This record gives sequence, structure tokens and C-alpha cells, in this order.
Amino acid sequence: MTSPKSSLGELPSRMKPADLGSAFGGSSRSDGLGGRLTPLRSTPAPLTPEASAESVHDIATPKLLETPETPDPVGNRAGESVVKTTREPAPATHPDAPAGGASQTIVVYLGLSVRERLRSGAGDLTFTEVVLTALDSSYGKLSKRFSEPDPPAGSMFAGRGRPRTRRNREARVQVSLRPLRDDIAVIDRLVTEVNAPSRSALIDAALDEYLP
Amino acid sequence: MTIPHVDRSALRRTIAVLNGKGGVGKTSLTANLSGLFADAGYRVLAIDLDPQGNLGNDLGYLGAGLGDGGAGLVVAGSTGVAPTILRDVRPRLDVVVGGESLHDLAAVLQSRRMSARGGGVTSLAASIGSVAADYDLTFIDCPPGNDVLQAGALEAARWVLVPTKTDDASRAGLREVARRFTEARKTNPDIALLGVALFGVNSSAKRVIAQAREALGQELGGQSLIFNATVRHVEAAAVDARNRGQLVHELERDVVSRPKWYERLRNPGVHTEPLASSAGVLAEDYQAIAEELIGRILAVEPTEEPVEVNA
Repeated sequence: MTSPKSSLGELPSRMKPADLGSAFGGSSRSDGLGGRLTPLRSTPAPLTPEASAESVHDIATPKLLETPETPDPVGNRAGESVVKTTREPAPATHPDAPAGGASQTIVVYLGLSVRERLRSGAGDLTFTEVVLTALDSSYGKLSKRFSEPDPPAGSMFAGRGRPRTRRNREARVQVSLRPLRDDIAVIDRLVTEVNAPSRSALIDAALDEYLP
Repeated sequence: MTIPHVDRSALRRTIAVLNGKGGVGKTSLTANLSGLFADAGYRVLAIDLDPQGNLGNDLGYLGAGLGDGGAGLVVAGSTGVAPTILRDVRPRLDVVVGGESLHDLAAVLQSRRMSARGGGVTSLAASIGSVAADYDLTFIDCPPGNDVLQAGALEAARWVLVPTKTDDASRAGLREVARRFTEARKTNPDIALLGVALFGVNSSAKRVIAQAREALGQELGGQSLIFNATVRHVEAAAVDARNRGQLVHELERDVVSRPKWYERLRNPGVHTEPLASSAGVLAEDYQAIAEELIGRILAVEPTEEPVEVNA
């Protein structure tokens, strides 16, 4: 029937716990499981600090970006709505997330082509800065991007003729961003407001609108 | 009401353990896999979404008088706030407790589903998403027959693990999962089937197992989604583990550490509790399932490029 695979490590698959388990006082059942999955958690685990040090989030968070006061080197075009200043402060997404100026890493999924355009267009700017600028810039257009299309002429079914989404056609890649918590709350509020299915979809659409 | 936002990036290792039929191993798999991964060093959250609340028996916290019968999860799941967490039921293993109160959560979510205000089960997914980022793996033990709670789990999950027995009725439960899965994809397009694991098999019934695999393969369009590892039916070990509030690998440790049979015979005055010596067999099966589960996740995750370091 089932037997442990060789990937278990150095322990022979037929080795019984009686052989070593009693000697060392532990189970061999979890041997070989640890360390294979990239840690996901955003807060360090109390018992495995070395693991949290390898966290994707930690790696993806240069200390430099934690500075809350970041000048806007791009500048906003005249007449653009500015999400951060034209809205009331939005509540934090999670009740236990303290609101304020601290930044927090989030991971979003972007279409491969949008990610490439982001890389090319970012220049010296952080991805986070470009994303926030893109959201500011494309705010007025985002509702239309996520609105339900009218049924095609001659059909009562709205789903007919609906264009396939980028998700269906194109591979997506992860991009780490480090906005302020307040900005994350604004983004989440914007997700709801424009009926975007997710943060990722919202940011992908905004970048698609904004980037050359 | 404002529809809570679901943080999908926090949920990308959230695994719903689901089958439309009861008694196919959902709770046993949830408990033992959670325990094994926590033992291996991962931070793990196990969520009991079943009104029967049996996860507490497997993990032993009900026997210790802990748990709120799911009352905390009713509030959290209906509003989207972070659920109450019972911490450290094992090192690195936390639990969101279920129980009878979850019938109330189902009622709230169902009424919202049927109202024009919208939102459906999103609040439950948002609640889970609000804490999942603190864990490397999150398992949801789903109820067998509560449509709206299952829908909530599937709204939150990135992966679905389906335990099944070899009989036709259990496999019919898989078809029920497929229906719910398709429905969930409309709002959770990232959800994917991690695999189907045969549970409670009689290792000597090789022909039955082969036939079950064949039938499952036909249902799934191939064998690739069927776990190679299976969990054998080892009644004595399963009963001993649950009665003692232990996981199977923990029972195995106790079995191994107790005096050997010849030592007991040499010292008849020493009382030792009889324990199922077959615990090792069952522990070996859970270990194999855990390894295969990691392999299946890794088979997908490396294809995603490493997280882009913010330029």
C-alpha cells in the first residue's frame, strides 16, 4: 500500500519508529516535510524565527521602502482625481490591522505583459509608486473596466459575447508591493467601488490603462 | 451592508477538505495533516467548519474543556472580522473552533445569499483571509452536507482536497463537490483541485482499490488528480487516537515508547495501557499523504515566478 517515498530524506522508507524514535524521543513522521514550502506568513512564527527570516514577504521588503514619507516623483497630471486626497479615510481591511502610516507588503498577480510594461516603465520608481500613480490616473476609467456589459443585440443573456478576461488568456505573475496601510484600505475600498473581483484585477487594470 | 474584501494573496495556501458525504475522512485528514505539518515546523491553522465539531475530538481540545461550540466563528463568519483563534493546541498549530453554533452561521449566510443585498458567503471568506496570512498552511474541515458553509469554504480556498472511500456513494459525494467547485469558480477563479485521496481502504482489497481508482480516473478525466498514497482502514489505531485526543503520529510515539511485550511479560506488575500497535501503519499513510500534498503544491508554486522584489 502506501510507503514513504525516498524524498523523506535519509531515513530508509521501511525504517520503523521503534528503531530510532524511542532513542531520540520524537517522531520521524514529519521529517522531510519541513522547509520545503516557502513560508507564507507575514508575521514571524515564535518557534521558528529562522524560517520567518526567509519569508517571501521579508525578502520582498527592502527597509528603504518602509519610509512613509515618499515624495511623488511622477507628479499627477492636471485634472486627475487623486484617490488618497479626494476620499475620506477608509477603514482598514482587517479589524486587527492598525490604521496609520506604517507600510505593509501585499502580493498581487499581474498579467505577464502588464508586469513587463511595469518593469520597463518604472525606471527609478518603486512598483508601489507606479501602481498608486496608475490608480490615481485611471480612477475615472476603472468603473467602466469592471462594469457588466449590456446583453448583445438579439440576446437576453448578458454573458454572451462577453470578452474573455486577461486571466483566461495570459499567465499571471506575482508582484510584491509595499503601500501604506492607509493606502491598502483605499485600494480595497476602490475594489468594492468599481466592482473589481480582486485587488490584483484592479491594479492590473489600472496599470494597463496607465502604462505605455 | 458593505461587502467585505477577500484577501486572496493571504489565502493561497488555504486547503478546503471537502466531500459531500460524511465519514470519508475529512476530519481525520484535516487533523492529522495539520498536526504533521505543524510538527514539521510550519505555522498551521485548522478551521473546523463542521457543526459536528469533531475536529476538537481528534485534536483533543474538546476533551480538555476548550472551545466555544463555534460561537466565535458565527460572529466572525457573518461579519468578515477576524475569527477567535484557539492557540497552540499543538506547537505551531492553532484552531478556529467549530460546533453546533455553526448552524446559526449557515442560517445567516443563507438568508444573505437569498436577499437582494448581496454578499453571500463572502464575509466568511474575508474572515478566514484576515488571519490566513499568519500561517504557512490553512486547512478547512468542511461539513458533509451544509451547502452554504461548503460554499463559504470554497470561496476562501485556493485548493480543494477530496477524501473519498472506495464505494459508489462516496464517489457520488465527489460529483457533489464538482458541482460546488464549478459554482465557486465564478467568484473564486483561483480555486483548484489539489487531489482526491482514497481513505479508509482495505489494503488487502487490491482489486477494489484498483477499480475505485479507475472509476475516479474516469470521473476526473485521468489519474493525475488521484493521490498515489492512500489511508488504510486501521480501526484500532484510529479509535485509540481519537479516544486519547491524539493524532496518529503522536499515538505512534506512545506505542513505540511503552515497554516492549517481553518487558511487560518480565514485569507483570507494571500496568501498561493497551494501545494499538498498528498506529505506525496509519501514521505512515498520513505521512505519505502529507508528502504528496507538498509535492502537488510545489509542482504549481515554482511555475509562478518568485515574488518580484519591489524595484
